[in-house]
Amino acid sequence: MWTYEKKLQYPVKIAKPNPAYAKIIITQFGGPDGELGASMRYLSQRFSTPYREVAAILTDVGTEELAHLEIVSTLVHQLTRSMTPDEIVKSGLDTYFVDHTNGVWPQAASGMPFSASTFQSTGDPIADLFEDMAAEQKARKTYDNLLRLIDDPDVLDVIKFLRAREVVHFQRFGEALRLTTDRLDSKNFYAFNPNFDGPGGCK
Amino acid sequence: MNEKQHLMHRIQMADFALVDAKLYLDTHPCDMDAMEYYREQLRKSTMLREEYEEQYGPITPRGSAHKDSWCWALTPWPWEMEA
Repeated sequence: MWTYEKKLQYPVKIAKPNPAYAKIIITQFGGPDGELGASMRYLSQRFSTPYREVAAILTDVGTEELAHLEIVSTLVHQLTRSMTPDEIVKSGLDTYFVDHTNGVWPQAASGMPFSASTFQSTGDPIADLFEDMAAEQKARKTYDNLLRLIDDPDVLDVIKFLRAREVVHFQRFGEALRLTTDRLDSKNFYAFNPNFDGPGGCK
Repeated sequence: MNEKQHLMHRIQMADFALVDAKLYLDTHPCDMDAMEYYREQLRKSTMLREEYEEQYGPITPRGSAHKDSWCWALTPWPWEMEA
């Protein structure tokens, strides 16, 4: 279960609205490498690891991603306040505005809606953890690209925090993978599913 | 930054230390130095949260229980500029 805390994990106070920035940042809410998919990925996968430390890291990173989803949504919300119709059209946010006004909806920067098909829950902890490490690198890549496109210190500060967390999560998932592979039968290293087949290999 | 925001900022720093230490402890559950660090940050966070909830309003719904009204529903939400 979860409880809500009336605070952000990292402070967001954007002095200057900018709908063009909102249009690209929203991809880290509902895009292919965004925080919603990250959170759902880890919170779904945790049921199929036989190792409690690995379930712990999946639970706690999945929960932290929910906090990041809120930070990204707050960025979009604050960047889209007090916009004039003229600003909306010039920024390119008009194609989003026509459906959602300044509501926050999970989509990629391209307009593609959030989809569970951007992540897997394979029932195989090794396959899952390799995906999780790749997912953290892909999210780090998107934050790098946002840093290249954005020129507002208030926004950059928040994006840099989120980027740094992807690097830490990558490290922790690497350790979780190691905790998993250390318990495999050396004769069957990587070759079977320790959740379904048991640590002794395929029966 | 006003005094309320400053206090929230200190809570966010202590809580961030807890989040980061928690992830480390998940994969190093027997690291006693990390456990001591976690306990130290937890003491700091608990103290700051009590101070904040007393002065400015609840961080969790339970923080409203001893007040005259359900402040949880009335104080600014985290995404508001005035939060």
